[in-house]
Amino acid sequence: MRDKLFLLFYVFGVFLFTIIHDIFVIGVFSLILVLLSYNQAITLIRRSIISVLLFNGVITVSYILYAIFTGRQWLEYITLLNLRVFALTYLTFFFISKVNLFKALSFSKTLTYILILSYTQILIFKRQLNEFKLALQSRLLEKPSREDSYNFISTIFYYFLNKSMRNTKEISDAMKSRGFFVE
Amino acid sequence: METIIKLENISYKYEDEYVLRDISFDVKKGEKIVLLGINGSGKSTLLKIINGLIFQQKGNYYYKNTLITKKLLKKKDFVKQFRKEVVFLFQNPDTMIFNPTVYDEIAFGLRQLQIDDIDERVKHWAEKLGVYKYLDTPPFNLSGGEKQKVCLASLLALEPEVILMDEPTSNLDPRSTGWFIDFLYELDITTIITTHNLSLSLELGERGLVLSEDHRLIYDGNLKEFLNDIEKLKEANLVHIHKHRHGKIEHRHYHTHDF
Ligand SMILES: Nc1ncnc2c1ncn2[C@@H]1O[C@H](COP(=O)(O)OP(=O)(O)OP(=O)(O)O)[C@@H](O)[C@H]1O
Ligand SMILES: [Mg+2]
Repeated sequence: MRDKLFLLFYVFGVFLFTIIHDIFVIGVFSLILVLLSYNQAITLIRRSIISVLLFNGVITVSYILYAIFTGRQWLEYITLLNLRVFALTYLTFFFISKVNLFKALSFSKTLTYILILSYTQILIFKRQLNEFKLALQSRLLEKPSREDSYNFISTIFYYFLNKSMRNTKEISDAMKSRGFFVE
Repeated sequence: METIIKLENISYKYEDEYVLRDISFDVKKGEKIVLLGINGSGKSTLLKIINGLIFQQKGNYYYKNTLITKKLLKKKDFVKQFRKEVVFLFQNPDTMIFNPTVYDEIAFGLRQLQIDDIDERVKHWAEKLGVYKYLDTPPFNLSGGEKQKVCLASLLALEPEVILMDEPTSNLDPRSTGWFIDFLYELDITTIITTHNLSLSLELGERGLVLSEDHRLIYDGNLKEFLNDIEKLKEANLVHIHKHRHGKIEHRHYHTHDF
């Protein structure tokens, strides 16, 4: 039962952090979240920052560059994005530290299925990344130049970004067709 | 003809489960080999071993009588020679493409060879593979089949001795597939091609190697004979049985499928 209550709390949290587009509101909720996890706060903050650092760093820098070149505003978007990702990650770590995931979802076949689905997604991504590395290795006759390394990394980055956006869309379409979140 | 590739009792596992078991065969210079097997039988894994990207837990792999080891593939001179001579077209061309233009993609290997006629060679192979008109475009936006051709051009530009191709026809439409078969026919180097398309396999080479579902080599020989051997086909799970209706009469028999 406890696991299931936490799950409810988690789902609600994810929902909130996803639909809210106001920096201030997200900020307040994040703060509440940190307070709720009082004795774990430091560990969780550290863990969340470390795990989003690379991904968010790359996105932030490329977006800012892109925005500067195209003359768009970026501050608000970037702050919101980073805050949102941080809050979601924090919430997830908090949740996982409290709960056995498979147990929490055991009441519903669909949700267990979704858990397995996301787990599989992660495995697929991992394998795909490895495939990129091998393909490069196969074509390298000597150490790559700096420019080649840069091209390589940005391609992978772009590929995964694209793919996860497409996957997200596909999965949410699939869920819609099964009657989730009716608008 | 001399032996160029020799595998002796190769077994490989990613985690706990073996995905290749006790595989042995030789490849002679100039042979065109078709590697058949259902999904997950280990075809791609085998090609990766032959390309020196991953290393078997058991058995030996010799390329031109040299034992290929992880250590040897850290030696600069050897790597340079080996990667030029043995090239690998990956199953998914997206994983191979990372240069800003098609031109750079094809020139990528050549630039590492410090040769003079790079420009000439790039254009030659682009022309030959029918991607000349894309030389200045970024490869990301090309279709799957075009990407595959760009990858092929970039590999062949190195004038390799062995080319390993993992499902090269899976992204090609029927017309391009026909073109590819002709192209392959004229290509005068050792090739190992994987596929699970039975009817196409005959066009890709004469000798067949077949992996079973439990990751063993269950056939090595004339491909035509294999395709006529229903017992072997069943063993490889490359045929299956299902019901049919012709008018009112229903019957069952074995089928090969080419999708
Ligand atoms: N990076 C990996 N980590 C763990 N397991 C893997 C990895 N790559 C492949 N496998 C597993 O090894 C087995 C053989 O895979 P492989 O890709 O060699 O098969 P294949 O014959 O090429 O299949 P397909 O026809 O689908 O391309 C499969 O069960 C696959 O799930
Ligand atoms: Mg494969």
